[in-house]
Amino acid sequence: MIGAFWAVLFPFVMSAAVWIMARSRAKDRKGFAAIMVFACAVELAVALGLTLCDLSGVQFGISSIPCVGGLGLHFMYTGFRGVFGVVTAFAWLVTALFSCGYMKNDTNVIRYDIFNLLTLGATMGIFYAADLFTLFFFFEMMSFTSFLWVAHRQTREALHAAGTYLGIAVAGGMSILMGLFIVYDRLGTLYFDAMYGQAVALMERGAGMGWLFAAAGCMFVGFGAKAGAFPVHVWLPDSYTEAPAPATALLSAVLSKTGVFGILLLTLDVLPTQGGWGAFLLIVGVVTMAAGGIRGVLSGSLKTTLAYSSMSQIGFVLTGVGMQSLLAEFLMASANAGHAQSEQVAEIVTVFGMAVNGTFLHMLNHALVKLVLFMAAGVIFAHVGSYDLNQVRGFGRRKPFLLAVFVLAAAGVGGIPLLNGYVSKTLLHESIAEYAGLLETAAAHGAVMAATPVMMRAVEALFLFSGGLTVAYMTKLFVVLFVGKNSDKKVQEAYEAKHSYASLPTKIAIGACALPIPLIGVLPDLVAKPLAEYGLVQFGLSELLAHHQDNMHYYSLKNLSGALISIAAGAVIYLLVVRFWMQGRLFSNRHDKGYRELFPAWLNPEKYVYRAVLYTAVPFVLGIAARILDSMVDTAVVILRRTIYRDRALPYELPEGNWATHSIGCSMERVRLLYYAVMRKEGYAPKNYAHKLALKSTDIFENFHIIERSLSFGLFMFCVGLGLTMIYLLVVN
Amino acid sequence: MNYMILIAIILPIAAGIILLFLPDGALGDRKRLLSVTGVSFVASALPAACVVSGRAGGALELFVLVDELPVFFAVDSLGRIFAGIVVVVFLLAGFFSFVYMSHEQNEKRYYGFYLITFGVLMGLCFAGNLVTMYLFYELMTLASMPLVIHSGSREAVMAALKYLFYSFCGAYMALFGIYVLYRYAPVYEMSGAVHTMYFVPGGWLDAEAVAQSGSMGLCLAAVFLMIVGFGVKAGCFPFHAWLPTAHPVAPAPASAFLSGIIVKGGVLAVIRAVYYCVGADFLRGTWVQTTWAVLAVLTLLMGSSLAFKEKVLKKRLAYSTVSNLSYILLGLSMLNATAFTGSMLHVVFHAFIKSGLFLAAGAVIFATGKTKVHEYMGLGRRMPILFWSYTVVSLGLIGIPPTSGLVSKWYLAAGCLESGLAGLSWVGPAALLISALLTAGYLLPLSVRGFLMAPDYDVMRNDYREPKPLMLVPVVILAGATLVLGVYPAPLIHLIDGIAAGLF
Repeated sequence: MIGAFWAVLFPFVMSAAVWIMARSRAKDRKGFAAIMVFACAVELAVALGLTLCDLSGVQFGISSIPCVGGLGLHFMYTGFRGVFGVVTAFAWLVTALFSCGYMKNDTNVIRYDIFNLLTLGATMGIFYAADLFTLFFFFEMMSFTSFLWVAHRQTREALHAAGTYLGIAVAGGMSILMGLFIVYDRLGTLYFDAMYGQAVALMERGAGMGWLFAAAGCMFVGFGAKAGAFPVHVWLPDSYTEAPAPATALLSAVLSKTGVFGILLLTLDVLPTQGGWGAFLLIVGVVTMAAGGIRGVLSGSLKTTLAYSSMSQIGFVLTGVGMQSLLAEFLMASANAGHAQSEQVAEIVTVFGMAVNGTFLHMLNHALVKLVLFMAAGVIFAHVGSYDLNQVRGFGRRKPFLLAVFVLAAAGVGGIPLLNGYVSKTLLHESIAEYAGLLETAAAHGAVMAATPVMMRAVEALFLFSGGLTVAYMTKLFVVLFVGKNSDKKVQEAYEAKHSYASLPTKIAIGACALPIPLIGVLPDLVAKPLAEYGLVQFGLSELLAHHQDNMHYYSLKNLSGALISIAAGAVIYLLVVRFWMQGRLFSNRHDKGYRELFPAWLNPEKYVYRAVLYTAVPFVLGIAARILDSMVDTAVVILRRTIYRDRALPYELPEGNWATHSIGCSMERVRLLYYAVMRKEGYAPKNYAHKLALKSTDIFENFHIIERSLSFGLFMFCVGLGLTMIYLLVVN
Repeated sequence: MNYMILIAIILPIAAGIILLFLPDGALGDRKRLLSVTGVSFVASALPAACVVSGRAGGALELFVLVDELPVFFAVDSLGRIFAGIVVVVFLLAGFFSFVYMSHEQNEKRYYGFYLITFGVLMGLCFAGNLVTMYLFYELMTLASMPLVIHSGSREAVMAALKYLFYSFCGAYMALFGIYVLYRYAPVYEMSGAVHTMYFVPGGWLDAEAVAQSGSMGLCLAAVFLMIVGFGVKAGCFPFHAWLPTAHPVAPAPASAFLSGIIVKGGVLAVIRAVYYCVGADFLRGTWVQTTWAVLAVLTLLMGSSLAFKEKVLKKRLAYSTVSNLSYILLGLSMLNATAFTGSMLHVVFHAFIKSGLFLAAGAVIFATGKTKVHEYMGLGRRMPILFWSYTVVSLGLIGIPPTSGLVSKWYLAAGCLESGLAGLSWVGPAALLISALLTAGYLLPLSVRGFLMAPDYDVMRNDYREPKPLMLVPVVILAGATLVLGVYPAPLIHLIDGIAAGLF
C-alpha cells in the first residue's frame, strides 16, 4: 500500500516542478495558475481514489518509508483520514480556482504557489500519518511553509503578524516534540494503533499517568495553537487578516483542523478514558467558543469577525472532543461497575456516538462554511480594498449570487435548521444535555466522575449562548453587506453598478463549497450519518460505536428547541450589542453612526502578554543570567591578574627620555596638578616635566658617552683598578 | 599499508612547513600560489580519504617515548568518522578561502598553518593511546593559534592569547588526570614491547581495583578534571569564554574550520578519555556524571541566550557553537547508547551546519562588509542561493524536519529520558528544546529580513550580487548535506550504532 504516500509526495514533486519552471521560463502567471489548478485536481483525484479503493474493500495497511528523519515515516488510511484528505484536496482545488482571479495581479504569485503546494503536501502528510512522529514531521513543515502565506504581502503589519505566527508555531512545535519524547519514553511506541493498548496497560498498572498528562499538556500547546484554542490563539486574528484571502480560507478551513486532529488523536490514543483530560478540553472548548464569539460580535472588521468566528467554531469542536473523552470515561466506569444495567450502557454508547459524530460533522461543516465565507470576503476585498465594516457596507446589494452563498454559509454556521451547522450543533448539544442527565442519575448512585452535573448544565448554557453569539455576528455581517447602505451615496451607486464582480472560476469555487451546506442539513440521515459513520476515528472504543447508531430525530421539538434558544439569544445580543452599543444609539441621538471596534485595544494578549513575555522579559532574564555565567571565569582571571600575577602594562616606545624620566616627570606633573586643584584652585598650565627631564637626561647621557669614549676615562678606570687591587692586597695582608 | 596513516599526517604538515618557509617572491603572483596551495590541499586530503574510507589503516607504532608509552596510531570507526568530517570541511573551507583571502594579508602564512592544522587533526583522529592523543591535542592548539591571530589586529592578538591561556589550562587539567590514571592502566604485551594507556572500547579502568586501593575519590576527581579539561576545547562552561572571543576574529573560512572542526577535537578527546579509557560503567551514577550533565545543561542554555542577545553575526554564531557543543556533551554525559548515538550524529551534523553558517556569513561579509545582524535587509533577493542555503542550514540547527538537526535531537532527548537520572532526564530534553527555540530566534530573523523586508538605502545603492562560484558551491554543498542527512541518515546511524555496541 503506497497510495497514501503518493498523495503526500505528489504536491512536493509539483512544487519542485513549478520552481524549475519558474526559473527557466518567463513569468507567465496565467500558466502557473492553470498548473496549480491541475495539481490540486490531480491531488483531489488521488485522495478520492484512495477513498473509493477503501470503500470497494481494498485493505490498506501501514506503508512505511524507512529511516527518513531517523525513525522513518509511516502512513495509513482510515475513514476519518480519507474524508479529511479529500476535504483538504478539495479546499486546495477551490482556492486554486479562486486564486486564478484573486491573485492575478500579484507579483509574488509564483512564490505563493510553490509554498502553497508544499503546504498541501505537508497537510496531506499530517492527515495520513500513522504515527506521532510522522504527524510531527509534517506538522512542523506545514508551520514553516504556511508562514509564507501570512508574510506574503511583506508589509510591516504582515511581517509583524507573521513574526507572531512563526514564534507561536516554533514554540508549539518544540512543545509537541517534548510531548513526543515523553510519550515515546513512557509508551515505547508512537504508532496510533499501538498507543491505545500501551496507554490502557499503563493505566491499569496505575503508574506514570502524570507523565502522560504532562505530555498531553505539552502537545496541547502546539496543536491547540494551530487550532486556535483559547490561551494560545493570539496569532490567529492578525495572521488571518494579513494573509491573502485564499490562504486565509485554507488556514481556517484546513490548517486549524490539523490542530484539532492532533488533539483528537491525543485524546483517544494517549489518554483514553481519562475524564480529567476531557474536563480540561471541555473547559478550554467552552472558553474558546465564548471568547471567540464575543470578540466576533465586538469586532468592527469583516475579516476579523470571520477570524474570531473560526476560533469560536473550533471551540465547539473542542467541546465535542472533550465530551468524547468524558463519555469514554463514563462508559468504562459504568461497564466496570457492574451494577449498571445494559440499558444504561447502551444509552451511554448512543450519547457517545452523538459526540463523536457531532465533532466530526462540525469539523467538516466548519471547513465548508469558512471556505465560502473567506472567499466571499476576498471577493469583497478585491473591489473595496478594505475589510472595515463601514467601507464594505452595502457592497452586497443587487448581487444575488453573493447573497445566496453568503446566506447559506452564515446561516449554516449559525445553526439555522435545514442547514449543516444545525445538524452538528444539535448532535453536540444533545450529547452535552443527555450526558448531564445521565450524570445526575449516576451521581445519585454515588459515582464520582471528572465532571459534575452542575458544571455540565453550565456548559450547556454557555454552548447555547455561544450559538447565539454566532447568530449575532453573522447577522451583523449580513446586515452590513446586504441590508445597510453605504454612508457615501456615490460609493453605494458604484457598488450597485458592479455586476461582474466575480469571474466564473471564482463563482464555481465558491458555489462548489456552498452546495453541500443545505444537502447535509436537509438530508441528515442520507448524507450526514453515512459520512459520520465512515469518518469514525479508529481507536480502542470505536468497535462499540459501530453497532449502536440509530437515526436521530433532528427535527423533533426537543432538538429544535436548542436551536431556537440560540437564535433567540442571538437576536437579543444583536439588538443590544450591535444595534445599540456598536452603532452608538445608546449614546447619541444621531440616526446612524456606522460601525466601530468595541473591544478595548489595551486588552490585547498578543502584544501585552505574549510578545512582552516571550520577546522581551524572558530573553532579558536569560540574558542577564547567561552574562553572569559567561563572565565568571573571565572575572576570576582578571582578579587574579590584578592581585597575584601582576602583569606589566604592554611595553611601548617612549617618544623621548627613558622610563625613569617619564615616570618621575609624570608623577611631578600629577603632584603639581593636585596641588593646583586642591590648594590654589585655579587653572593649571602643564609644565611638561617629563619633557624637561627627558631633555636633561639626554644631555647627561650625551656627556657620559663623550667621557666614556675618551682616553682619560680609560686611564681613570685603570687607576681605579689599581687602587682596588692595592686595597685588596692591604686587606688580605 | 599502515604507513598510509603516517603519510596522512606528515604530508600536510610538511606541505604547510614548506609553504611557510618559501620566500615571498618564490611563487610569483597570486595565481601560482593558489594553484600550488590547491594541489597541496587535494594531495593532503587524498591519503586521509584513503584511511577514512577504510582502504588503508590498522595500527602503527612510531617510536617509544618512555618505557611503556609509544607514539602509537590505530584507526577505528570513531576516528574515521571524525577524520571524515575533518576532510570534508577542510576541503570546502579551504577552497572557499581562495576567494575570501584575496581581501586579507599574508595569504601564504594562512594556507601554511591551515595545512599544518589539518595534519595535526589527522594525528588526533588516528591516535591510538592517550599520550599520543594528548601530544596532538596540544599541537592542535599551537597550530590553530596562527589562524586566530591572522589579521594581526590588537583584538586578534588578545583573542589568541586568551585562546592559548584557556587551552593550556584545560590541557594541564587533563594532563593531571592522565598522570593519576597511569597508575591503574593495564599493561599489554604487543609484539615484544609493553604498552599502556591504550584505547579500548568500553575502557580499562577497573572500578574494583581502584576501590581497593582506596583512592576512588582521587580517581573520580581526576576523571572529572579530564572531562572539564578536554571540555575547554569543546567550549564547556565554565571554561568556554575563549570560544566566542577567538572564533569571530579569525577570517571566515578559518572560523568555519575552528567552529566546525577544531572544537570537535575536544569532543573526540572527551570520548576517548571517558569511553575508551575510563569506561562508562565506572562513571555511571557518580557525582562526576551528574555534575558533567549539569554543566552541559547550563552551557547550552547560556550559549543560546547569549547568541540571542548578540548583534554581531559571527559572534552570534560562535555563541551558538558553545550551545551546540554542549548538546553533544550532554548526550555523552548520559552514558548510554542512544544518547551516544545522538551525540555522534550531532558531531557530524553540527560540523556541516556550523561551517555552512560561518561560510555563508563570510560570503555575505565579503560581498557587503556588513557584520551586524540587522543590516541584511533585503539582501536575500540579491543573493537568493546563498540565503536559501543559509536558511536550510539554519533550519538544520533548529531541528525542523526534514533537515538533519531533528534526527540528532531525537536521539539525544530519547537518550536523556532513557538514562533515568533524577530530574536531569527531563530537564535535559526541555533545555534542548528551549535552546532550539532560542536558535530559531537568533537564526531565522536573518532569513526573514533578507527575503521579506524591503532593502535599505545602502542595499539599494550598491549592486550586490551572488558571490563567486568558488564561495557559493561549498555553502550549497553543506546545505545539501544537511538536507540529505536529514532525509536519509540510515548509513550513518548504522555506523554509529556499531561503535556504540562496542562501548556499552
